[in-house]
Amino acid sequence: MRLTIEGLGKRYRGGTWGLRGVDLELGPGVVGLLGPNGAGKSTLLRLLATISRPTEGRVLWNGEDIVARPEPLRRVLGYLPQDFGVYPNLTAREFLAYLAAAKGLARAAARQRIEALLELVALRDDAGRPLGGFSGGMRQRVGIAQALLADPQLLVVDEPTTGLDPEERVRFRNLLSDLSGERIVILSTHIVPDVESVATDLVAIDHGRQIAHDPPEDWLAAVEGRVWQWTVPSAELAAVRERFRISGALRRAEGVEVRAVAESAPTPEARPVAPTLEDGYLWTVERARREGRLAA
Amino acid sequence: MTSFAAIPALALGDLRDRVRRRSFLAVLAAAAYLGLETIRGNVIVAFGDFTGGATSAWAGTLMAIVANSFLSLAGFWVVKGSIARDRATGVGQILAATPLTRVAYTLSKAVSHFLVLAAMVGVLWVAAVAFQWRAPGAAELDLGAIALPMLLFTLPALAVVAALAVLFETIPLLARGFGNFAWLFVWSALLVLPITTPFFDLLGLRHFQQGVGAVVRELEPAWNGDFRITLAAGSPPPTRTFVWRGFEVGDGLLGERALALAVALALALAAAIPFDRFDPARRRLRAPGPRRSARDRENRESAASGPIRPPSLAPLAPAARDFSLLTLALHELRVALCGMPRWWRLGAAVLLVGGALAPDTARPLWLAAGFLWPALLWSGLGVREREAGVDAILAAAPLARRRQLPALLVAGLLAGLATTGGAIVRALGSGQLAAAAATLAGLAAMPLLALAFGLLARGSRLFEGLFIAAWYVGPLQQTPGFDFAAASTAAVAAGTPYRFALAGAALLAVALAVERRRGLDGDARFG
Repeated sequence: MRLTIEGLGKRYRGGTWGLRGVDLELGPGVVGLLGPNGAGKSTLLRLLATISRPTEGRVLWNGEDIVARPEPLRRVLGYLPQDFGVYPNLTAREFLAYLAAAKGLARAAARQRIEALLELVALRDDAGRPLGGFSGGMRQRVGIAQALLADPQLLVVDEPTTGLDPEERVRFRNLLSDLSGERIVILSTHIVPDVESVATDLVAIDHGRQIAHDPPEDWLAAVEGRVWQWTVPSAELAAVRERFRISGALRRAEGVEVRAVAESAPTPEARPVAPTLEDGYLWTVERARREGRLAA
Repeated sequence: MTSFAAIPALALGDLRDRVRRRSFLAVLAAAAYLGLETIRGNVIVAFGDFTGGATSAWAGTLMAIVANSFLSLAGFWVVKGSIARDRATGVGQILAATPLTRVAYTLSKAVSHFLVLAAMVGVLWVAAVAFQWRAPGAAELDLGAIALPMLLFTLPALAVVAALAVLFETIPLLARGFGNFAWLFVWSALLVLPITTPFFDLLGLRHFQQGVGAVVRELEPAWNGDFRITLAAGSPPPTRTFVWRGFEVGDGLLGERALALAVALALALAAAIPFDRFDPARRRLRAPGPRRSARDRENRESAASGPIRPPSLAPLAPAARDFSLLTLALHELRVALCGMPRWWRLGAAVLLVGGALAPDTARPLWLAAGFLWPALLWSGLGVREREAGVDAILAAAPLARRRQLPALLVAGLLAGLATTGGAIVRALGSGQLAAAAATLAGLAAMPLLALAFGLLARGSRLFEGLFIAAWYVGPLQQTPGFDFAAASTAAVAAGTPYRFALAGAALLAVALAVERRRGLDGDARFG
């Protein structure tokens, strides 16, 4: 299976480009789609999920254009939108049965699949309650379950961990890892740790532009020797934040231990430390902005 | 800023949001159309065989009568829904977390509603000026005389309508479709009762009848008080004219209209009592049945804390993919029914059985009721998924709308059969094949029209408003041209239900084309 994205762009009414010039070639695995809020991640995912139509460029699923022929993709697509709703008076089981019917699953198979999914997302005990009484995290789990209903080959999930508690986040990451063997999973987030352990590929988007597509190791290698840590008095923290790209701050008895990404040591006291993927992401975005690769 | 000081700002913000929507232009266009039709003589206001001559006072009074009659009905549906929007967008919860009081909120909504309605009155005022300007042999143009009846009668009446719209939205039972239907009956009472009883004249129609009627009586002492507002197509135009110089504005009249404003204020204040302040905990959800509750409890008791490593998911066999239209239609019906109170099903059962057992003479009544009962299920067709936020998930499903649209239509038909099936079977049993077929055509027409209006308007109120008005004139009053239920033999002979079905199919085709056009700009729901 292959997902090919060529020169993809989406212009909204009023002439604003939400996305432009995206080129990707994706195979089985988990793709972490990273970018700040408003970068164009959801726009890209809506295009891939055949919800929106591109203004330019094309998307090919196993060589077929998904605008001209969306059905082959839709048959194997699982999509979790960032903002989705539920019918509040239906129970979780009824809601999933409804969506299974819409996705064309046979009743008996749907029933089995729904029970397995309810177990998977730890909602079996609450499956008979109306969805209107569910917490945000529980609704999100229903959303994850519906995305997996039709055993998708392409799973597109937009900010899937929103509202999940830490335990649920770990569970979800493990689930993605398990699922990724024979399918393409595209996971959009602005929280780097969500993709740190599971992503086989990383794509960064900023201001509607694709700025990177690399394996996670490349991001770590790129920032190696450029991550610094030192301690500053609390009163100076604001000034330090203005001068450097701070990726973390930890309050200590002697002040605030700050972590920054920079070409060279920001201060004589700064010492190099091992980079994380978050440092790599910040460095990638920073470098793209500096090199002017975000100009429309 | 105190809570009450925030009312103008809140009302203005709400108004800005509304006037920047395209639908606001459509609302103003509808008001302009109403004014135009009145100018062209297609809306007749007659006192027996009399109507007013071309004076500025009559131009203003004519438009005020038209506004108080039609705008008061349609205006309610136009403005209602603003609190639901605050709930859906989450703005309501943000406001609820401020010091804003419930009273200030409902008052600000009433003010905002009133301003929208006042804008429509402004359009009618322009139409009245045009009416006077183009009338042959018209007296001198007096802008104040044209405006006076609207200021005196229309604006206070619409203030009451605006406040009632807020009150309806804060009462859970009336907040949605049921309230939209109930408004027709409330409006009828407000309109008719003051003319036939001493009931307080909120809408001002009695003033028109008695004030203008006094001039008519001078010309025709035998005038029997007949006062009617009709469409030209339905009745002959009056042949005689009177000269209307306007109302004498005395303390009594001013006091009475001020009282109407006070009633509007009281209604807006009263709306704060049932208003839930966007607390979701106060919304009633369907309770799980006893069997389900017991099973859930059992599950909860036996459940240990879930493992971090999730259980594995078996692949789906290819044979598992087998779309069934009926299955999806039944699910759509369940989705629709879930939003209805439990007694809806009981009512449907009564209508189903009653329709089968009732004598032929009672058939029209059973059919009228049978068509009204599922109307709220129909009005949500094509709308529910958008309102619930499920549309993006459905749009990514295989053959998305091409599967869902037929399922919605089948679900709508099944809902109609659940209430009128008995009457249809009885008609078939007594050999009235044409009547049974016509009723079935009418049943098919309703989901078609509901879906079309739902897709076009992206909401249910347009269908609800049009449906209840057509139902009142058609199946209930048995006007042959509107009797889509085939409750009368004249409607069967005229083929009215078939016309509705054809119109529904055509309108749905237009709605789908519009959706496709919208899709080119963004969404691709029909791809």
